[in-house]
Parts: sequence; C-alpha cells; structure tokens
Amino acid sequence: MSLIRTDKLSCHFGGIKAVDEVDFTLDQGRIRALIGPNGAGKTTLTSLIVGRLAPTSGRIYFRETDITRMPPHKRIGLGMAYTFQITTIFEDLPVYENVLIAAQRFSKARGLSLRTEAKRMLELVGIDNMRHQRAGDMSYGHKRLLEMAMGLIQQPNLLILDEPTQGLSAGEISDFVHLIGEISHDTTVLLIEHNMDVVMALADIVTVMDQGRIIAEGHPDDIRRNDAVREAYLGT
Amino acid sequence: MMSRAFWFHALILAAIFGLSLILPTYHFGQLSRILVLAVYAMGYNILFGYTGLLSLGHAMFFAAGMYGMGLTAQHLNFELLPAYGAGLLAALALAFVVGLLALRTIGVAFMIVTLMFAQAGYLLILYFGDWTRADEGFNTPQAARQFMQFDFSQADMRFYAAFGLFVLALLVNYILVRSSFGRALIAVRENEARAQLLGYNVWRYKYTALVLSGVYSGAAGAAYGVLFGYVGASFAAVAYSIFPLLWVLVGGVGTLLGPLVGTAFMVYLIDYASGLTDAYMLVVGVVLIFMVLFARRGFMGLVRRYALPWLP
Repeated sequence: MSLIRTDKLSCHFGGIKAVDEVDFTLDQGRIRALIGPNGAGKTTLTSLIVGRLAPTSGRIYFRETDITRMPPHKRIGLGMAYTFQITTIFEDLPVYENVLIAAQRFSKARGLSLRTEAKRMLELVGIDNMRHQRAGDMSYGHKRLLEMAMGLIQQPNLLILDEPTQGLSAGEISDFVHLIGEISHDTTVLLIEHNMDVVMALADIVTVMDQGRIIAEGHPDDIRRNDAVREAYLGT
Repeated sequence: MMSRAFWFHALILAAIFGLSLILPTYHFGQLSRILVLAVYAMGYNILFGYTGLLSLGHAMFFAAGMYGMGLTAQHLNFELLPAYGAGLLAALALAFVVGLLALRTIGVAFMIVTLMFAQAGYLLILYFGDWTRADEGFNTPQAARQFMQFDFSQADMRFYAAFGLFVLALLVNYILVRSSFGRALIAVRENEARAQLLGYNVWRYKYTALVLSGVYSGAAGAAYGVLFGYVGASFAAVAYSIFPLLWVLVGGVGTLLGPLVGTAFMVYLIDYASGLTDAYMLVVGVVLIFMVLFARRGFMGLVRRYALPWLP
C-alpha cells in the first residue's frame, strides 16, 4: 500500500501550471528525493500533500484514504511532519519551548515525559546546549537543526523536508546526512534537495520534476544518466 | 507544582491586600476600581497578549456582563447571585456568537468586525432606551448589591469582592498560561502557519481564547455594575474598547501582571493629569508616545526581559 498517492493533481496560479496533472506515488520506507530546476513545482507539490495549498483539481490519498479536503492540522495528526524551506520556527521563544510546542500534542498519547523527550531530541540534533536561548538568536544552521528536531519529535510516518541543507556549511551538511540516514529506518522521508551530493548519498529513489510535471523517476544512478533530466537541468 | 512564579504572584497579592489596610479612603476606593478593571484587562490580554488577536470591540463583552446583570436586577428583580449569573451568561452567549462570525476574518478585518459589533451593541442599548434608560443609565438596585448580610455598596465589602474576583481571575489565568493549552495559544500568536503545520487546530484555539476573554470581560462588567452601583451606555462605547488595549500595552502584553500594572498606571495618570489641566488627555498621549518609543513591551515586559525572565 502506498503512503502517499496523488491522482492527476493540479495546482494553477492564474495561467501558471505550478503542478500539472501529477500522478505521484510514495511507498512506505526509506528516502525519496524530489529534485528539479527552480520553479519546477516541488514545493507546490509538497504543499498540496501537507495541505498548505488547495489543489485546482485532482486527488490526494494517504494510505489510500482520500485526504484532498482534509485541513492541514488533521493531516499532521495522521502522521505527516513538514519542515519549511524558509526556516519557520517560533523566533521569540526559547529553543526548548519550540520543541515542547511541537511535542506536546503527541507525548500524552505515547505516555512519554514531554521534557525528557524534548531534551533527548535536542541532544540528537546536537543543539542541547542552546536550549534556553531565544530561538531567533541562533545561527541559521542551528535554526535548521531546531526545525529538524521539531519535525522528528513528532515521530512522523512521513517527514517532508524542503531544502534542508540550503545555507548550511559542509560540516553541517555531513552531520545532516548522517542524521537523516539514522532516522530513515523508522520514517519515510520525502526530501526536496538541490545539493546533488546529498541526494546521491541519501536517496533510494529520485523523482525529477520540471514545469509542473514529473519527467523521470528511478534509482539515483539511472537518473544521473537520464537524457530528459540532463535537458531540464542543462538545457542540452 | 508551586514554582517561584506562583510564589511571586502570591506575594504580589499579599502586597495588594496589605496596601488596602493602609491606604487613605480615596485611594482605597480607587484600588477596588482598579482591581475590577484589571480583570477586564486580563481578559483582553488572553486574546490579545497570549493569542495575538487585536479586538477593538471588547466593550461589548464588558457591557453584556454589566447589562445582563443590571437589566435582570432592574426589570426581573433578580438578586445578586442570579443577576451576576445572568451577566456572565450574557457575555458568554455573545462571545459564542461573535466569535463564530468575527473569527472568519483576520488582522485588520478582525479589528473592524469587532469594532462594528461593539458599535451595534452600543446603539442597541441606546435604541432600547425604555428598558436601558439609554445615555442616562440607571442605578443598580440594592437587592443586586448585597448577599445576605454582606453589603457590597460599602467600601470595605466592595474591596473584598473586587480583590476576591481579581485573585480568582489571576489564578485561572496563571493555570491557563502554564498549561499546554496556554502554550498552544502562544504558538498561534507567534506563528500561525507553523502552529497549524504542527497539528494545532488554530481556529479552535482562537475561538476558545475569544470566548474565555469575553467571559472575563463580562465578569468584570457585571462586577463593576454591582460594586459601583451604576449601569450606563458609556461603558459600551468605543472608549471602553480602547481602554483595555491601552492598559495591556502599557502594563505588558502577554504578561500575567501587565493588565493590573497598566490599569493602575493609567487610572492614576488620568487622575493626576486631570488635576493639572482640562486637556488631561494630552498628558496621557505624551506618556503613551514615550511608552511606545522607549518601552514597547510595557512595564512587565521590561521586568521580564531584564530582571525576571521566568515570569509567565
């Protein structure tokens, strides 16, 4: 059974077909990368999946249940977690509070101590020593890590990461690759990423979008050799 | 868990009570008034300070409480408890309905919609002048101002009642902001889109906050009518929607004690300025401009930032 399936999913902004009749299937397990040139429709597609945008037409299924009209907070309740392309944390609150806000809806159901969980998650991403800082005062890389912690603590079935390595240093990227590798044992990861080294290191399957459509899908090595992909990226 | 924040607020309450024992008559009276109005400001702060929704129509909830109490006492001969209950119920019902409609809007539109509802309420009071005595208002019947042998038109009893109401309101507010519900409200205030994508039903949190805020305002309005013995349309006018906003801004947005500090400061500022000049609002205006320029977080916001970062 697929985790996510879209059926002729479209989203138009005026005359622009940001997502154009896309049939996308994501099976449970491991890491899927979503790549494509700027404006290909990657963020729009993931926004439709998580409910930030409403589709113009088409349907979305989560474990074969139709969620096309479900409000975003209920989709999160089904086990999706989403991290934004532009870091979106609670800047004015302490780091620790940020994680508590992300965690408190889940911890009760799981009988876990909220504070213990939050501390463990901050340790996992490596910013535990900053937990009393105002989140907005941290460096960009640390904010991204906080955003990751907020996603991970929900223990989602599906974690959507929109350009998570953008603006990170080489060292931070390698830590990040390691972290994603670790969590992908329990969580399906959908990764929008521009950094091809990260994609090649992590992805089991790569989906390529261009001009609102999926133009290729397959194993990373095959995608690297695919002519249509080369054309979309290099124009040759 | 009794934390330092709990003991800090308990200490403040004890100080207020201690103050009441030594204040001269005039200031003793003012203190009762400030405490009741601070409950109103506290209610406003739940919506504005903690949830991030700026209403310009809270006078309608204050007046709903006041008139719900006053009209049932005047025309149905309700005694104190049922009359007060009617006031609370009126504010609750109004908040239920206004919330459903006003929360379809956000930002500036929300401000305008709440302002319009409040104006409609004000005009209704004037329109039904046969019952409400319109502008002139009416005195709260004595039956609604006493309970058994306790007469709340007496200065001492009035203070105890105002203080009791304030303690209760502060305690509920304290529990609220330290609960997971309070944390969710803050999440909505700080970043609505993020809160929603962390699985929070943002609308439901806003609605609950608005209803709670309305009930606080109504509780204060009804208490004002009981303790100060007068019910009038001026309490439903636009000025009474602006006051709690000012009190909260001056005292400290999103702090527990900010509403009290702001209310006390503004009541005494107006008092003092009107002793100096007829154009007392000019003095008030200048002070507010200074606050905006140099203390944007309000008094308690500054205290929290520079001295007591753990204040809720």
